[in-house]
Order: sequence, then structure tokens, then C-alpha cells
Amino acid sequence: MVAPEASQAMVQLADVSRTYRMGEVDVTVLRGVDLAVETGELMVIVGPSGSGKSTLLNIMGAMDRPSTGSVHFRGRDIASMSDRELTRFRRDHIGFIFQFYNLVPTLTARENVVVATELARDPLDAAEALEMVGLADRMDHFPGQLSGGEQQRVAVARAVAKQPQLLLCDEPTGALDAETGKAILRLLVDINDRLGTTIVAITHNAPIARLAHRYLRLGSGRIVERQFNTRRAAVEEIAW
Amino acid sequence: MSVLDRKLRRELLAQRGLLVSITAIVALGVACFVSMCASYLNLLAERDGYYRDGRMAHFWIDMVRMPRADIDRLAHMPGIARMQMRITYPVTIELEGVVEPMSGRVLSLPDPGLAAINDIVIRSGRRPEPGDRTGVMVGEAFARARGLNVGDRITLLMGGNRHELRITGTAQSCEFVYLMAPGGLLPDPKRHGLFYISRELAEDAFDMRGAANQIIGRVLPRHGEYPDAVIDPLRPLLSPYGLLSVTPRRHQPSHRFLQDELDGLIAFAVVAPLLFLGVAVLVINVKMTRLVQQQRPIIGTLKSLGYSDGQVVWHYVKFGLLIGALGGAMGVAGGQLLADWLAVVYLAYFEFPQIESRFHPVLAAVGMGFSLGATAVGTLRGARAALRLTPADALRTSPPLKVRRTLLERWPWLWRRLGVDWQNTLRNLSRSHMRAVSGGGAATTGVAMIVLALVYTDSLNELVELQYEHVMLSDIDLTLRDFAGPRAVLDAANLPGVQRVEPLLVVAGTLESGHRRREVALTGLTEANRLTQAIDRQGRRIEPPKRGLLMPRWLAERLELQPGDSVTFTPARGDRRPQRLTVARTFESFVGEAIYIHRDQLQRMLGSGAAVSTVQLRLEPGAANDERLFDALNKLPQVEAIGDVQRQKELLEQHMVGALRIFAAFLTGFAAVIFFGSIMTAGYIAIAERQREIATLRALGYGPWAVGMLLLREAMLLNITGALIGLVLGYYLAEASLQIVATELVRVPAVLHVRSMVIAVMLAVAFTFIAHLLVQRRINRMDWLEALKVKE
Ligand SMILES: Nc1ncnc2c1ncn2[C@@H]1O[C@H](COP(=O)(O)OP(=O)(O)OP(=O)(O)O)[C@@H](O)[C@H]1O
Ligand SMILES: [Mg+2]
Repeated sequence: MVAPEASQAMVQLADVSRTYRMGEVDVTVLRGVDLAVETGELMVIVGPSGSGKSTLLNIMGAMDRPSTGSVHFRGRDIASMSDRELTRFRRDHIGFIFQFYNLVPTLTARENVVVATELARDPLDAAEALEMVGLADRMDHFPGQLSGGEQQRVAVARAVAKQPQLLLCDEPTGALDAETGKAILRLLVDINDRLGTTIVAITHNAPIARLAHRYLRLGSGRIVERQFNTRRAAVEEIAW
Repeated sequence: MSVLDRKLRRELLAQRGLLVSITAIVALGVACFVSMCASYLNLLAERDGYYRDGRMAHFWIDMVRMPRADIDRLAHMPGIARMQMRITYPVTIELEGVVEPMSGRVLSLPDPGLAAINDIVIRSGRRPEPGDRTGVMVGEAFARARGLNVGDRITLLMGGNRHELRITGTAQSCEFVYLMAPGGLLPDPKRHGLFYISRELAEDAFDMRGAANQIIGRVLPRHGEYPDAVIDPLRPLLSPYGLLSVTPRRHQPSHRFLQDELDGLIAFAVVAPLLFLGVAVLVINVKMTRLVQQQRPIIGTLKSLGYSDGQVVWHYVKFGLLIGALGGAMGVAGGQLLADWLAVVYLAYFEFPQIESRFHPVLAAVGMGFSLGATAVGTLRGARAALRLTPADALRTSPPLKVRRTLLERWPWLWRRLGVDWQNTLRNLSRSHMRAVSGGGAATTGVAMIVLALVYTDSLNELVELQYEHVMLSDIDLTLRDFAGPRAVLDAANLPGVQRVEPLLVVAGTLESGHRRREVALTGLTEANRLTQAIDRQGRRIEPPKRGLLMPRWLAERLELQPGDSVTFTPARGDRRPQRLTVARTFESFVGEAIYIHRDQLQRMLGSGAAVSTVQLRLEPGAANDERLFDALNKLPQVEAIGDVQRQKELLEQHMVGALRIFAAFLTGFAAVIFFGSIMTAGYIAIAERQREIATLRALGYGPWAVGMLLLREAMLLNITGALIGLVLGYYLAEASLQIVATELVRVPAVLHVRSMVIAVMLAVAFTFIAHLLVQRRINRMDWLEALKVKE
């Protein structure tokens, strides 16, 4: 594999494995994954349930450490960072979007974004971020008063407002219907295009891979397929 | 304010019912602590100030008669700081329009200009001038109880003569903070008072010219606590004057009562808050553990956003600390109010010029510390779970609730017999042991509090019944001036309304066993005495032994005596020769320190003529209100004091009923708070956790009450189990606390009637049910259709 400094890769995983201990037995979830995420790219990871997609994403996002192997972010070895350094790292560089939005139900849309911006070094204004996702007029609504798609848009605003270098999305459309799902995808593509944010997104939904610059297929903890899209599809073209 | 604090505030507000009930438990614990400790400190400060300003004596010496000039022979004894002489006697009192007998103690005033020992505090008017032979200063309590004012007239029977006196003023004294008539158990200011007269009048009335019968004195500071080393050497010097008794301050009745009260306060100040805060820790623990579990995805999200473990934990700890701070502040404020109120209550029991309720910053700080500490401990488990959760794990959907096999399932024959409903209930309870412990523990504590109140009530009732229906059966006791002959008995038998008359011979003296010495009184009885008797544990009469002493067990223990041991008794009357006596038997005595002996033996010991010191009367029904009887009693020349025994019973019952009712109401209220806090916490959590189960049942056609029944069944099982343990705990708690508050005068046996146990358990069931109604309300309002849609 290419040495980290020789590449312009944002994230560089080398021979990453992850094993969980379940009582007496060890369950290996990732086996020797090599992967480089290039700055500015939109990458999609597909694969069956339980194939290790979320685990891989968490390791890229400094939420989890590999059992063996190395992870470099812009040349810095994050696999050997302390918990404190990992926290700091997530705070400064990473944005997350989850399948079930994970908004704080007792905070308004704007406040949910502020939860993130309060910590960030150079955040967008919360209102600005919400405007970007088209929720300028719903800022003071609580998550319970918003539809699923709207809630996910708040979650996108929360992630983007931190101005992260790397945006990680774990099945961002998994809980949404076709229309709202596509709206979220449009947002992500737009963020990638306009802001240049590097995005890695997981999906069950194979056609979504056509949006990416590049996609990977995971199977039983290994990368079983790597593809460049010579022609990226527009969101409208995707069959749901 | 940070948005996370806003989240916290909204979550707290959304659960305010629960919050209030948990906070109330904390607040009560702190309030108990603060109020009791504050009362202790207030009383102590008041007492110490009063003793200091009044120059409270360290010892009292009673004699038959001592020339005033002879005091100088004692003054040089080592350790003595100062001494003063005075004349003091019991008196009977007559007032216009009052039928019932009244007694009192008369004391001669020291010469003016002297920094008097046991100095009085003048409340109104002035002292009688030296040489004033018609003026009297009346104790404030008696004056208040009888509505007496300066200028009113009052008649004292002193030395066998009636003295009509004019009231010059009212006063209080530090040596009579708690004033009881001899033989009484409670202060009775309507029937017993203090009277200060000039030395000259006292000398005339009691034929004591140039002499006195009591020395009060103070020792040098280093002997203050334990003046015995100083006063014991005085005894031989005093015996020529007819030494009757030497009383160090710690045996002085007023001081002893006050001290007992102080000791009791401290004991409760420690135990009560422990109970409350213990329950608070359990309940908060359950609540916090649940909260963290429920907010796993949020915790994961916060961590993914870059919030540090410390920030996340602090966010949840704040939840608990807020309850602690709120409960602590309310407890401190409430405790202070309670202390203010207790200061007023104490003023009714103890005769202080005032009781100032001070604010004690240290107590407020310690109270806040306790409540913050307890809630911090309560949050620990939940907060630790939030800490341990790695960000990746927090985001994984939480594992389904573990359903454990219950213990009972090991016995299939029994398990099968239970039916599905009960099987379900038991399985649900075994889901979380901590919750079961918390719910059961709260019920245990709540019921223990109720039982505490009930044991006190039952025990005091038992005590009064034993004492006044088995031990002391007389209506009126007449204390005679000199040891009269059988004539006195005959005189009394002829009074109107008298059914039965019995003589007693009570002789004061000193009991010595080895290095232990104690002022006591021996009560001489015969087989014929029925109005006073000793009883055994079963309430059966114990005949007075032919030879030797029948002694209360606690007293024998204190003197390290056992049946068969011998002791020396030196009577304070007669020829005062020390006598060897054996302890024949001990018995369980709950009130007083009477030691019984056969009257024949006592008479032989004293020698000449001593026959009767007390005449006990049993009246015909209705005679107790007969004016003619009391008129006749007051006219009996040999009578020094009239003791109304049944009045003591009445007083005891009145005070008990009043005090216990308040106490029981408080404790029952406390118990209710605990039950509500615990059941609401458990109920709300169960609803939230089992939303889907409840919604599914509703969809299947179960009504809200049928669903509520499932929760109620769990709550009942837990609370009744807890209640049964609470019965036992409460009983032992009561027994222990009764032992702590036991004094030499009163020792209350712990009694719990079956009826009370039933009441306690019924209250537990009622509280559980009422608290469940609040939970039920939430079930009724639940939008179960919505709940079915929600993804976990
Ligand atoms: N903390 C853990 N402890 C034990 N096993 C785990 C843990 N985290 C993940 N696993 C296991 O690792 C495997 C891969 O999990 P992962 O969440 O990465 O899969 P996934 O591809 O994201 O699946 P899905 O599409 O269902 O989200 C699964 O079998 C899962 O049970
Ligand atoms: Mg996944």
C-alpha cells in the first residue's frame, strides 16, 4: 500500500482488523481492510447487514479503534491516540449523520445545531446551517414537530455547521421514503460539490452507489469490490 | 446557558412530578437533620447561657438543720468555689376558688447584693424585700397557669401554719427548667409551683432562726463535670447536721431531664436523615440508570460530536446534583422553620426565659453537603455507565432488556401453579435487581417509619396501663410531715369518699456497694398493700420479700448487684446507722426508681416509732371531684404534700396523645413521601420502557386499567414484601431508640400490637394504590397508537 505521506489521501487505513470478544468467542468483524479516502471525494460503502460497514465508518471517524492495523488522518496516526485526543479529533474534523437522526428531543432544531457549534472551532452560524438545508422557517420547532426527512435535515445541518473535513453518514436515508431520501442525498451531493467536504456514506440501497465518485462493497469484513463511477448519476436518476 | 443545560432544564420540567417526589425525600432528610441538630444547639446554647448567667449550682446538699455560721467550717475544703445556704421545703397551696390539691416548693431568697448561686430571673414585679414577712415571689409557670398577677393573694401552708401572702412578682430559675412535683413524671404547672420568700419569713415559718436546711454550691472549674471528688469529703462533716442527701448536678432532676432530651435529639438527628437519604440514593440510582440507558443514542451522538467523557458525565451528574441542591436548600429552609417551631414547642415543656432559634451556618452547610453527597452517590452508577459507554457502542441500538429466569423457576411445580400473570410479574421484577431493591427498600423504610410511630403509641399506652392499673393503684398519696403513727391512717380512713387506705413507709438514704453510691428511697410494704406493688413481666404481683430488697433490674445493673449480694444502706432518718441488706430479687420496673422492702424489716432498721410516711387512698367512684374531700385533706395537720396519682395518669395520657399524634402524623407523612417517590419513579420508568408492550396490549383490546393492573401487581408485590420487612425493621428501630431515650425515671418497653401491624401494612397498601393512580393517569393519557409507530 502507498505510504501515507506519499498520497494526498485524507484517511488512510492499512490492514485494519476489528475483533469483538463475545463471552468466550472472538468475533472478527473487519479483516485486513486497506483503504484510502481522497480529499474531496464522495465515497459510498455498500454491503449486507452485519458485513462491518458501521464498524468501518466508526473507525474512520475516530469513534472506535482497530484491533490491528493503522489509521492515518492527513498523516496523523489516530489509531494510537488517547481517548482525549480522539475526542478532540472528532470535535475538530469529523461530522456524523445517523440513520435515526439522533436529535435531542427536548431541544429545538436550532438548539440541536448549537449543541455541535458550541464546541466547534470555526462553526457556521446555526441559523445559516439550517437555512442551507431549507429549514429556515422551522428553526424553533422541536424534533417531535418535524417529519423524518426534516429531522434528518436538521441532523445534516448539525453535522455541516461544524465545518468538518470529513462527513460520515451511516445509512442517512435508511429510515426515509424515496422522496425525502432523495432530498437528503441531494443535500449531501451539494455539500460535497459546493463546500468540498469529503463524504463517506453507508447504504443498503445499492443504486445510491451510482452517485459516488467511488464505491466499495463490503462482505464479511472484507472489501470485496472497489469501483470508480466513470459517470456519476444525478439524484433524479436513481431507482429507489 | 449552554444548550445542554437547556436540555437538562426541559427534561427536569417534563418530569416535575417525579422530580418533586424525589426532591421531597431528600428535603425531608435534610430538614430532619437540620431541625434536630439546630434544636439541640439552640437548647444547649440556651441552657449554657442560663446556667452561666444564673450561676447554676454544681451540687445540692439537704440536711435537717445547720446553723448558718457553721458554713464557714466547710468553705476551706479543697475544690469548693462558693457555697450558699437556704431554707427550702415542700408546701401545699390554697387559692381562692381552687378545689384540687396543689403543692409546691418554697425557697428562701439569698441576701441582696450577693452574686447568688441559682440566681432567679425576674419576669414581673420585684423580689420581697429582706424582712418582708408577707411577700412572695411566684414561679412564672405556676403564675401563668393560674393567671396570678402581682398584688394577688395566695396561701401557703408552711410548717403546719397557714400564711396568707401577697405576690410581689414572678420569676424563673435555671435550677428548675423542668419542674416536677415529687413522684411526678411530667411538669404540672397548674398543680405545682415555686415560691420564693424572704429569709426572715422562711426562718419564722419553719422555725429555723439562724439556720438553714440546704447548701447549694459551686466547685472550681476543673471539677465542674464531676464534683463528687469535692463533695464526698464533706459528708462526714455534715452528718452532725442530719445529712439527708447530696445531689451532684448530673442527678438533679431538672438538669437530668434536659440532658435526656438533648441526648434523644442527637440520636434522632443521626438516624432519621440516614433513612431518608438512603432511600433517596436508591431511588435516584434507579432513575439515573434508566435515564442514561434511555439516552444512549444521545450520549453516542454527543461523543461523536466531540464532547468529552467528562462533559457527558458531568451533564448527567448535574441532573442528580440539581435534585441534591434543590432538596438540600428546601431541607435547610424547612429544617430552619421546623427548628423555629420546635423552639416554641420546647418553651412549653421547659421553663426558659426564652429559646432563641438561631441559624447555624455549619448545619446548613453540612445539610447541603449530605444532600449533595447522597444524590451524587445516587447518580454514580448511571453516570459511570455513561462514562463506560464507548461512542461506537452508545450508537448501537441498545440490547433488548434481559429477562432473567427467576429463582422460583427452579421449582417448576410451584412456578407452573402461579399462572401467567404472576409469572410475568415475577419476571418483570427480576429484570433489574437494583430496582427491586430500591422499590422494596423504600417500602421497608416507609413502613418502618409508620411502625416507629405505632410502637411508640402502643408502648406508651402499655406503660401507662401497667403503671396505673397494676403498679400504682391509689388515687391520692398523702406525704406525712413526720413519720406518724397509725393514727394518721385512721384519720384518713374517715375522710368522705375514701374507699381504702393503706400506709407506706418510704425512707430516703444512701445505698453503697463497693465504691458505688447512690441516693435512693426504700419503700416499705407488707403483704396487705394492694395500692402499690411490684409486678413481673407478665403483670403478676410480686410479694414483698420477708428479708432483703426487691430492686429494679436496671438499678441493680447500675450498682453491679445481683440477687444474693449485700449492700449497705444508711437511712437519712432515725438513728442513721448503716445497715447491711441483701438483694433478694430484681424486677422489671418501667417508671421510677422505687426499691421495695418488707415494712417490718424497714421499721426494725429505723428503730423507734417510725411507722408511716405516706398514706395512700383509693377513692370511691366520683369522689375525686368532691370538694369536701379536698377541704378535709387540706386540714389534716400531718400532711406535707398531697399527690394526685390519677392526675399524673391523665397528664401522661394528654401529653402522649398530643405529642404522639403530631409525631405519628409527621412520620406517616414522611412515609407517604417515600412511597410516592419510589412508586412514581418505578411506574414512570416501567411505562417508558415497556411502551411498546403496553401499546400492543392496548391494540389487542386491553383497557388502560387492565394494563395498569400489570404494573400495580408488580408494585404491590414489591411494596408488601418491603412492608413486611419494614414491620421488623421498624420494631427494632423503635426498640433501639426507646433504649436510647430511656432515662432513670422512665424506661418504655417496646410493644407492637397486631392491630398496629395491620394498620401499617394497610397504610402501605393504600399509599401504593394512591401513588399508582398517578401512574395510571399516565397510562390513560398515553398515545398508544403513536407508541406503536415509534421505532426503538
Ligand atoms: N460492540 C460490539 N460487540 C459485539 N459485536 C459487535 C459489536 N459491534 C458490532 N458487532 C458485530 O459486528 C458485526 C458487524 O456490525 P456492523 O454494525 O459493522 O454491521 P453493518 O454492516 O453496519 O450492519 P447493518 O447494515 O445491519 O448496520 C455484527 O455482526 C455485529 O453484531
Ligand atoms: Mg450499520
